[in-house]
Amino acid sequence: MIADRILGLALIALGLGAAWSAMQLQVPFAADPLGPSPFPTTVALVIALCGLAILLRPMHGFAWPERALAPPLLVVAMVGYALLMVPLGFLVSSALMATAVALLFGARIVASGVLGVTTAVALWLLFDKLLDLPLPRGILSL
Amino acid sequence: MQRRSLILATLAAPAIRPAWAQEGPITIVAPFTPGTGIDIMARLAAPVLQAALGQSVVVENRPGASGAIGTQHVARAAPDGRTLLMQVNTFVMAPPMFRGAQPYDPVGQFTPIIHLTNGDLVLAVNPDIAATTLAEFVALARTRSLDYGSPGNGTPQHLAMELLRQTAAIPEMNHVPYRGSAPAIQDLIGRRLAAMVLPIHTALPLAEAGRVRMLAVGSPARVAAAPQLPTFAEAGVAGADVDLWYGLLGPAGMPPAMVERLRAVLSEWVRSAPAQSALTAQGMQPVGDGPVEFARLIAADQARWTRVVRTANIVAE
Amino acid sequence: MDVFSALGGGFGVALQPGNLLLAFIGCILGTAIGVLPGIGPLNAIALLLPFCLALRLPPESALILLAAVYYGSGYGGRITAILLNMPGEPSAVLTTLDGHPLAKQGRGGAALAISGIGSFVGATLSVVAMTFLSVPLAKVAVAFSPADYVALIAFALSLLGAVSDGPAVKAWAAGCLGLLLAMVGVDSGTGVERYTLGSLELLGGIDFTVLAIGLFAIGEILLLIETRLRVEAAKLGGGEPLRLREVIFCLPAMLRATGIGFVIGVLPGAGASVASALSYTAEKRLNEANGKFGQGDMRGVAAPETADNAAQIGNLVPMLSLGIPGSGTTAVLLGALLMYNITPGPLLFEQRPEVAWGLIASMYIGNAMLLLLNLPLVGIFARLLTVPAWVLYPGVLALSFAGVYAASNSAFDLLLAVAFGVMGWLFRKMEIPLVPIVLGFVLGRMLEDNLRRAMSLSDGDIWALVGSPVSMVLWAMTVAAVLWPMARALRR
Repeated sequence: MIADRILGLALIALGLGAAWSAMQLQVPFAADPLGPSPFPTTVALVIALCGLAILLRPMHGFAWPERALAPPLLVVAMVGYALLMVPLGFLVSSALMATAVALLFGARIVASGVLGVTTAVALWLLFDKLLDLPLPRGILSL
Repeated sequence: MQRRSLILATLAAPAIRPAWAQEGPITIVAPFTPGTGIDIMARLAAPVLQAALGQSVVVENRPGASGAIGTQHVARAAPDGRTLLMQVNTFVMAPPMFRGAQPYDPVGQFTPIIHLTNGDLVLAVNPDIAATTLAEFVALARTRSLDYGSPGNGTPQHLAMELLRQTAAIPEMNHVPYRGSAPAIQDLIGRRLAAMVLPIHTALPLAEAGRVRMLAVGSPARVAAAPQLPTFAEAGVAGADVDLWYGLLGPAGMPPAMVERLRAVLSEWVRSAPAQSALTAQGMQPVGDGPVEFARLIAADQARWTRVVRTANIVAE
Repeated sequence: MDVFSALGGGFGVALQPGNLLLAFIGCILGTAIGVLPGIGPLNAIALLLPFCLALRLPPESALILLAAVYYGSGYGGRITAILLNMPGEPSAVLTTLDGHPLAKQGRGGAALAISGIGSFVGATLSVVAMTFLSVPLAKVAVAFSPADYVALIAFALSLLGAVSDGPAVKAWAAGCLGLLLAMVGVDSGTGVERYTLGSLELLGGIDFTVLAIGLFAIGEILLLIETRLRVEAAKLGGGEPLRLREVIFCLPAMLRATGIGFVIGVLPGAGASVASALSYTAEKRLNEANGKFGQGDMRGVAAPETADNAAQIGNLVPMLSLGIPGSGTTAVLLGALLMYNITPGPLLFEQRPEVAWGLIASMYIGNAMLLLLNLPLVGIFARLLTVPAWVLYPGVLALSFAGVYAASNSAFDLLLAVAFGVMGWLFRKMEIPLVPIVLGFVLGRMLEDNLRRAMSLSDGDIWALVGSPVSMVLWAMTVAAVLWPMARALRR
C-alpha cells in the first residue's frame, strides 16, 4: 500500500513540476496561437491528478525481489558498461559486462568468462565487420 | 554490400590516398528528415565521394529545430574531413529566428566547400482561390488575411512568402508551420490553406492534376520546366526573388587541399550528364561554384534573410 | 477491368525470377536487421539505396527489394517482441501484450505464426481494397483536417485505459508520461527548449529505440534477475504449434482489423501505431466475455499485426496518388523514387503504371515471401527461449547496447536507456503498464502538431476542434471511452 502512496506523491510532484516548467517557457515570437506551453501543461496536470487518485486509493504493494541485491548490482554493471564503452572499447567492456551479468544470473565463474569473451567477439564481428557500423576501439587499437 | 564496394574502391584508389590520411567513414550530415531535398542531395553525392575518395561515405540524418541540431553537430566536429554538412538556404535563415543564443554562426563556424545546385520555387494556391495571376493574389491578400503553410518555421518556403508579403505590401498573412512539406501540401490540396511556396518539381505534378494552381516562379528568369509561368518581377512584384541553393560545407578550419579535393570531385559530378538529368527532374540546376563564391553567397543571403526575419518579427508582435 | 490488368501487370513484374530473388534476399536481410535493436528499416533502406543505384536496378526492382527489407524488418521486430518482450518498432509494441505471454507458455512459435498469417491476410485484403478504392480514398485522405486528426488521436489515446488489465488510472498516468516524454527537446515551431534539463544531448529529443530498449529489454532483464538463479527453460520450447482451428478462430478479428487498419492507414501521418492500438482495444472490448487478452489470446496478436500491415498498404494511397508520404518509411521510398526521377503523384499511375502497380504487387509479394520463409523457421526462432538465461541475456544486453550506440554514437543514450530500464522495472513492479508510455510517446508529437495546426488555421478558435462531423463523433467516442472505466470503478 505504501508503495502506491509514494507513487502517487511522486506523480503529483512530477506533474506539478512539469507543468510549472512548461509555464515558464518564454516564446520569442508567436509562431502559432497555442504555443509550446498549453499542451505539456495540461498533460502534466493530468499526471498530477492521476497521482492524486492513486494516493487516495492505493491498490498495490511493492513485492520486494527474492534476491534484493541482484537488480541494483545489474544496474551498476550496466551503468559501468555505458560509461566504459568508449574508453575501454566495445570488445573489452562487453566482455566484462557479459561476464558480470552471467555471474548475476547464477552461472559459474569460468563459464561466465568464456561466455563474456565469446559474446563480445561475436557481436563485434557482426557489427563492425559485417554491418560496417563502427563500434569504439578503446584501448585495443586493432 | 558496402564491404564489396569499399574493397573495390580501396584497391582502385592508391593514387587518391594523399588527401585522406584518416581511416574510417566520412559522414555527410543531412539535418532534415529522410526524403527531403537535402537528404536526397546528400544521398546522391555520397556514392560519388565514396568512389572517388576510397572511403566509406554515409549519410546521417539529424533532424530538428530547422536544421540547427545537425548543423550544430557539424560546427563542433573536428575539421578533418570526416564530418560534412549538406545544407540549403535554411542554413542562414534559421539562426536569426533564435532569440537569445544563436545556435551557430553560418559564416564563422563553417568552411564552405561547394555550391552544388539551385532550385526553383513557385507560388501555388489551392484551386478555390479566386486568383489566376500574382497581381490578383496580391489584391486578394490585401483584403483579408490568407492562411499559408510551410514545412516549418524558418524554412525557405516560409521566408520566401514573408519576403513576398513584405515586398508586395500585404498587411497580414497567417503562417501555419507544419512538420515537413507533406502535411502542408495535404492541407493545401484540402483547401484549408490558401497558398504555399513550393519547389517546382513538387508543384508541377499537382498542378497538372488540377489540385493546385501555380501563379508565378521566384527565380530571376523564367524556367524551362514551366515556361508559361511569369517570374515574380514580371508579374508585378520586383525584388522578391527567391530560390533554393544546396551546398556542402565542413567545420571551420578544414585544410584547403581537402576542400579543393572535395570541390573538384563534386564539381565534376554536378556537370556530368547523368547528374544533370537526375537534378533537372528535381527542378534543380547544377551550379558547382567553389568556396570563394559560395562564401560570398552565404554572407549575402545571411544579410538578406536576417533582415526579412527581423522585419517579420516586428509585425507579428 | 483495366485496373485488374494493371494489377496483373504489376504482379507480372513482381513475379519475374530476378525480382523474386530480390524479394527473398530483402526478406532475409530485413528480418535479420529487424531482430537487431537500434537498427531499423530506415537504416537498412538508406544503406541499400546507393547499392540499388550502383547495380543499376530498374526502379520496380529497387522498390521490391526495399519493400521486402521493410517487411522483413517489421517481422524481425515481432520476433523480439514476442520472444523477448522487446518490441523492435512502435507497431510491435502491442504485439508484446499477448505475444510474450504466449511465448512464456511455450507457444512462441504459434504466436509468431499467427503474426505472419495475420500480416499476410491484412496485406492481401488491403491490396484488393486499394485496387478498387484508391481514387475515392485519396479524396477522403485529403479531406481530413488537423482538427479531425486531433480527435482521432485523442480517441486512440483514450482507449489506453482499456489496453491493460490493471487500474485505468495507472494506464492514463503512463500514457501522459509518454506524451510528456515526446515533448522533450527543441520545439520545432518556436525554437524553445522543453524539458531538456540543460542537456545538449536531449535537444534532439528522445529516441524511440532508447525508450523501447530501456523500458522493455533492460526492464525485463532487471525483472528476471530478481528470481531463481536458473530459469527453467526446458518447457519454453515445447508448446503446441499453431492449429488451423485457431487460425479460423482469429479470422473475424483479422477481418475487422483489416478494415480498421486500412482506413486509418489511408490518412497520411496517422500511421500503423494508431491502427494497431485501435484494433487491439476494439477486439478486447468486443470479446470481453470470452477473451483472455493480456494473458495470451491469439486474437491479441492477430489483430494488431493485421491492422499494422493493412495500414502500411493504406499508407500507399496518399503517397501514390498525391505524392504525400504517409510515414517515415514511405518518405524514404518516396526519396528512392525521386532518385530514379520518378515523381509519385496523381500522374504516376498514368505515366509509370509499371512502377505504381509494381510497388503494390511488391508489398504483397513481400508479405507472401515472408510467410513462406518464416513459417518453417518459426520453430527454430522459438527455440531461442530454451537457451539458458545466463547465456541469452548477457548477449541480448550487449546487442541492445551495441545497437543503440551504433545508431546514435552517444554514451548518453546508453545511460538514458539504463535509466528507462530502471523506470520500466519499477513500473512493472507497481502494476503500471508500459505499453501506454510508448503509445503516448509515439502519438504525442502527432497530437500536439495537429492541435497547434488546427489552432493556427482557426486563429485560436477552440471550437474548431469539433467543427466537422467526423471530429464530433470521435470526440463523443473519446469521452465515452474515458468515462466508462471511471463509472465502472466507482460502482465497485
